[in-house]
Amino acid sequence: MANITLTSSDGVDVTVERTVADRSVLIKNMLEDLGETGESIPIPNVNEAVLKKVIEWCDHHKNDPPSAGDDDDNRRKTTDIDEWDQKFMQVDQEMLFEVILAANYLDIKALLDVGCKTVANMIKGKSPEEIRKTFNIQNDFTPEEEDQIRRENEWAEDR
Amino acid sequence: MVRSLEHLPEEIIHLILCASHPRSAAALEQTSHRFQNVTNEPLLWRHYCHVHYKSWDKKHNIPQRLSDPVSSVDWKTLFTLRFRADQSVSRLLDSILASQTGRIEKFRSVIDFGFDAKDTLVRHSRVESGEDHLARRYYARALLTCLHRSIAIPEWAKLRRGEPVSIDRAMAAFDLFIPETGFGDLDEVRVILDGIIARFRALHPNIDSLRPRAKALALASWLQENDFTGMDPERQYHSLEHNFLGLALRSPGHNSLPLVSAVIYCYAAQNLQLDARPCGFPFHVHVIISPPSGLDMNGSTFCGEGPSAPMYLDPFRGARETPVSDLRDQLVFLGATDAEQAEFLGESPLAQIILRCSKNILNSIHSVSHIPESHGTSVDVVSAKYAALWSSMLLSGESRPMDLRHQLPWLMELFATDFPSDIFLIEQHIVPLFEGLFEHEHILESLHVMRAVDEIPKQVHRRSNGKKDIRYKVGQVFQHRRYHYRAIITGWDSECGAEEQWMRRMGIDRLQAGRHQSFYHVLVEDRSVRYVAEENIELIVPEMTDLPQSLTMIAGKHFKRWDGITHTFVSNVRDEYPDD
Amino acid sequence: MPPVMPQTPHKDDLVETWSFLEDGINSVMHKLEEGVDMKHYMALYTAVHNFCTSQKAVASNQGLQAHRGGSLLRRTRSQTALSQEIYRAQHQKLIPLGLLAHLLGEELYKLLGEYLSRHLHEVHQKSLAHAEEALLTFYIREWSRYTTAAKYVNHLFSYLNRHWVKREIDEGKKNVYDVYTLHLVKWKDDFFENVHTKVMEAVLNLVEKQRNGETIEQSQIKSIVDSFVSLGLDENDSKKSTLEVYRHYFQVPFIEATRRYYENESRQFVAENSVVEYMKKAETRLEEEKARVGLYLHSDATKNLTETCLDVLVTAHSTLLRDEFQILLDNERQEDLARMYRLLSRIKEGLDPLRSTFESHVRKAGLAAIEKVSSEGENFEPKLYVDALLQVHTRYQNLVNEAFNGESEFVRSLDNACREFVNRNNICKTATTKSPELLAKYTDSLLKKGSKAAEESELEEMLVQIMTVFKYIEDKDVFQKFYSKMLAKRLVHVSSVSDDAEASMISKLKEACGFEYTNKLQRMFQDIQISKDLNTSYKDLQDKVLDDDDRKRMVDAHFQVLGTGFWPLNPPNTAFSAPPEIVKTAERFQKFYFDKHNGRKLTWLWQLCKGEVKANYIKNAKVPFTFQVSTFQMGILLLFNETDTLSYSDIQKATSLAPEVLDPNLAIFLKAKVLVASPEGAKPETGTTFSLNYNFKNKKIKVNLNIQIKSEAKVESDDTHKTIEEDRKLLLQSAIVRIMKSRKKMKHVQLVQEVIHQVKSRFPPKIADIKKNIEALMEKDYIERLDGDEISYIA
Repeated sequence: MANITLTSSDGVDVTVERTVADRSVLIKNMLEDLGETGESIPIPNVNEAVLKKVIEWCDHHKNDPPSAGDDDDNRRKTTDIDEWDQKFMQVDQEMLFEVILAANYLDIKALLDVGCKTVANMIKGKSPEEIRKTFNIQNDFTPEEEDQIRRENEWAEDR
Repeated sequence: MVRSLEHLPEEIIHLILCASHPRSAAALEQTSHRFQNVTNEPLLWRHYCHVHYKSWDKKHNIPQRLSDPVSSVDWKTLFTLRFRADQSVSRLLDSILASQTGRIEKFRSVIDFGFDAKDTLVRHSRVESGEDHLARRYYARALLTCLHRSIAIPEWAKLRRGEPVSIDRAMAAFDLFIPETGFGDLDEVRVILDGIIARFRALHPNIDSLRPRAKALALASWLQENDFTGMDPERQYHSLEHNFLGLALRSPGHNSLPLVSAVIYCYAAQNLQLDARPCGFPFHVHVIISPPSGLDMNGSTFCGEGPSAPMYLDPFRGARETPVSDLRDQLVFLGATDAEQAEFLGESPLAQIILRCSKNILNSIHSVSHIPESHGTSVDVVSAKYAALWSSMLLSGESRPMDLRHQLPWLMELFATDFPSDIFLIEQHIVPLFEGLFEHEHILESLHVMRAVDEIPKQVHRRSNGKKDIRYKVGQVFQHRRYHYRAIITGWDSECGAEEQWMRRMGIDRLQAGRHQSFYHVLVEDRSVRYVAEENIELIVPEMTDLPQSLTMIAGKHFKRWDGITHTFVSNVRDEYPDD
Repeated sequence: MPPVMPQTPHKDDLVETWSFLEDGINSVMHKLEEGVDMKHYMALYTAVHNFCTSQKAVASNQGLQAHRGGSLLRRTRSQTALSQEIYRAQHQKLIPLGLLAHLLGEELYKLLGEYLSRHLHEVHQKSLAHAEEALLTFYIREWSRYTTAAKYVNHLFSYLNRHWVKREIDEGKKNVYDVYTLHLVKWKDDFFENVHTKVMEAVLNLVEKQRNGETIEQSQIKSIVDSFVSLGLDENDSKKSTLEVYRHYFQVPFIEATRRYYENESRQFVAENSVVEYMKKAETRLEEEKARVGLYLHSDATKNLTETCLDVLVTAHSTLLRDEFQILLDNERQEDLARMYRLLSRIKEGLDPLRSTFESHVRKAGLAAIEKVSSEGENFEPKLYVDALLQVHTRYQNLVNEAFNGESEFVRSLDNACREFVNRNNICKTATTKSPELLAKYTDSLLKKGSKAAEESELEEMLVQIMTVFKYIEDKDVFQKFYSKMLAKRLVHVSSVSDDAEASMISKLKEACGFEYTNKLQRMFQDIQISKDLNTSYKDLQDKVLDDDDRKRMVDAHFQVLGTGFWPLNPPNTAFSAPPEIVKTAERFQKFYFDKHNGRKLTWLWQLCKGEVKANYIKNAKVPFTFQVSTFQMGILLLFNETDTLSYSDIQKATSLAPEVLDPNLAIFLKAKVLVASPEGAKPETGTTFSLNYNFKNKKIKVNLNIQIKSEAKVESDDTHKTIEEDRKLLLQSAIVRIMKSRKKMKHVQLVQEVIHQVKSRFPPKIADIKKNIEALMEKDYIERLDGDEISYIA
């Protein structure tokens, strides 16, 4: 199968196999709609670094079976991430969020899931204050509001 | 542009939350307004309710709620409510495991949660490790089945009161008694049946245009071809599992007795607008199909006297109509009177069918015990017997107190040894049956004693004030010197504590050391409870995996876990035997 | 030179974003044939994506509200307290205290919808200029352009589908669809609703043209059907489709037009043509309509269309068709009958009236055939009778198979008719037992030596035919009686045409009636086989023990040992002193037999024995005559070895024969002039003397004197009937006892019912006979009558 050239938002061409590019439903649909013209495909929302990272993932997963519909229940219940993906996601927060955004934009469901699970694991078991620290979140509650919300969520501390 | 969690669009944060535990959502909510908004999305909590809890008590009406607009339910509050119930049930279970005292009330409290307790119990009944996992599994399972019975029994009680009960539910009630069937709710059986009908309809799009007779036969032959009715001739006819509707539907070969085949057929046929009902023909339940009023079975207008002739089928054997003359001949052969003939050839009331199923089960148990090689049955005999006794107690006619009297001791014995958590079911459903009979007082008395025993802490057996040595300890495994069965010691007396009569009957004084030696309460691999003299005990040191599963499963009644180093079970009755 | 990447609009600006998108959609909708380039495609997708994800996280609520547009108060929630009331009614208004998360995209969705409505309005305006086939062409072209564009737009807006639309649907909103479905919904609401009547008119006109024999552009209709089908959306699940739109807007008018068309056509056709012609026409039309479904309709139409056509073409004219049935039967128009069957079999209860007509037609044909036989006088050959029955059966069986597809109900009618005319016709007017008797006789004539059916295969075929008639015989026991008598004779007289044929017939009867029915027949057959072996071993023994002298004095004899109880044979009805030669031979064999089977009893059936004597005394005979005689005759003739003349009483004394036997045999000798009476012409009676005729003459060397005496044959037949009555009595009584033994107590009526049920496979019992036998059993104290109408068994 032919190779496809993608052009990142900062103007860098990256060439990949069609099967790799097809992990993105956006690209897959477009190629099916327009046919392969040989032109390079502009990816206006993703820069070179992120694009390469995403392609790395797609390349590794190019032979995965297509996901079985969108069965939220089964997919979201397991927070397990396979080993390769875990390693792949060991990046700084900025890159992690960029990858998530790119997966969402390019419509790569499985990658988006892995990203979301990674973030979920980062939140897991943390107190509100720890979460704020981890993600650099500004506390914009008044002390009264904060107190009230804490009381509302006491159930979750209950063990 | 610096990317941070706060910069992600709502839809992605929603996805992250969906992948998180609800506790994480609660924590995130407390960080800032932005996240307070996102974490309060009703869809998110609906998702949590849906994913984290499979079973919901009927009062929540969850299937309907799920299809209603999301805003009609405060899903977050519902989730926290359910979450708290989960925690309460866990705590109750912990407390049941911790002490032998006051268990009945705790059982009751768990059951009062209804199906909201189920997910918790299921979780605990599957624990594989932990300090007290054998006991945890045992009691979680006991409560789970008790919960199932508390759903099943009212169905028969309704039938007893003459209220309408559908045939599939009344039959599925038997399945709920048997944990191995995997059924947890009456509707699950119906779902399978409806699935079968849908398949049939998909393959026969014109079925509704057929005449009644053709329709009836088409259904019978399709069910037969797809093995939904009848039995593989290789199978043991009386095998216990052939009695259970749900089990038959779920097992690969769908083998079932004629009664169950007839029920499957009737349910499907009624769904196709055929007036099909089971017919309680002797030895072999048939199906009777009556024509729609004003028509005959061929769909032609019928203008004779009375209703037009019905047709008979035997779905167990297949798709051939059974001529009524054949049935009559058989009845004549059996010497049935005219009145009996009319009864046998008519439709049977549902209560009769259930009673018959109960008799079949008892029959199967009886014949299974005679065929040693058929022990591969997947159905727990004790539970099956218990189901049969319950249904037969509830559905035997008012006019036959003798039947009730006859079966009462069996039911009470089973209840006391294997299903003590059912005490409130007995109080609610069995006690009223005996009002006005002399057994009434007797039952009330034994229930009273049970409760009293439950409330008073156990008498403590200490070794220190021992008059003499008690050689073996609670938790040790042995083989009986004479009878060679394997068993676990669950308690002891320093000398034989049984009644004089029992001792005489068992010939205790003929033992070498007579009655003045230590005696042990033991749990045997066939699930029975026995009382064994010390001289007959020969300790063994098996691996856990050497012991039959039936034994390790009930071991949880008295023991926390297996100790692989000492090759003994770790006692959970130390309030009674503190030194063991 | 690839086009330059278009500048994507500012993500927060709705107006800018939409006008950019609208341009793009416009070119997809109108200029797709010119192609869309990748850069535009990506730019459009990205514009949708960017707009939907433009989150102003730090923006104030006010700002967000402005950005998001209206209807924000919908999903708000009381934060003040977690109410006990978890389930709020949908309509309940809640106080908005805070804003919930909200996805962006609603504005785009709405604007897209409005755009589509505008586009479709234009399409509708243009459509007004077209009618009939031109309108269809227009519709199809626009539909195809529109749906192709919809697929593109759906992809371009896929970000909207994935999040905003999904969320709305998850929340239970009605009337929100994915973008492709939105296209279809809009098409249906804004265009289809306005044109479907005109479109259908055009379609129906086309179909009518085709039905009238013109050639049309079928693919047009096919395309219209496909479009209608696509518009059926499941309200509850947009991924599924229903056929509702197609059924309502296409199928209903189509079926209505079909009905009208064929009502007219068939009415006219029937008025101008014969029924036979009409049937041909109807059949052709049904075929055409069936094919039509495959050509351009949705398969869902099959049932409805077929039913309508059958209703109009067949049901409406069914009386006319049925009235023709008798005429077609009379003229044996097999092909037309088949056509009528095919047509009427497809409507409900279409065939029932034909069946009864057919049944009575066959019965009449059968009766007429028998009438013809009986008109030839009393003494017809049984063959003639059986052939007549068979001929009718064969003719109509063929008809059922060929014209009526061998349908079981017609087979049943045929069987009913045959049973009627086989058991109740002109010849068995007096007694229903005549049919089985004639059939048995015919069978005998086939199985007896010298029958005309020489070929073995031909014989087998005829036996099969006999079984066809046998199946219809009600008095099967009568057949059995006659058959066993005649079989006995064939076996005793060794006159069977072949053992194989006999065995074949017995096995056929066994197949039809069971083991019990043929038990005796089979035993008879076996006896003969055993006797053959017995004779062989007897001869071997004789050869060993006898010298030549002995052998000369021996009578060369063949013996048959027949089991009492199996054979319908009686001991001789006269005493008989056999001649010493015979007695010696018989005793010798008897001794041999008793050695083999100790304790058995042998009774000699002299009346069935026969032999040959050589007449050496006759003058002028170059070769001595041989007389074939019965043993009785032999006994008489051998007396004349001692003297030439004997008186009647001498003969009687010597042979001990009763006069009923002696007289006719002497008469035969006189008639054949073997003996001469004195005085001349005297009858065989006391006082007559008989002398040997030395001047006997005959053309043949072998003279058969063993002729059956006339009265014997008649007596035999009467006897048979008498034993049948006797047997039936026994059968009834044993059935009654059997039933009562198992039931102990029973109502009289039921008992009678039960008896009928049990014996009807042998013969149809008369109720009076059953009652008589119940009475008889009461007298014998087997059963007793209780109070009421009940009967009880006495153990």
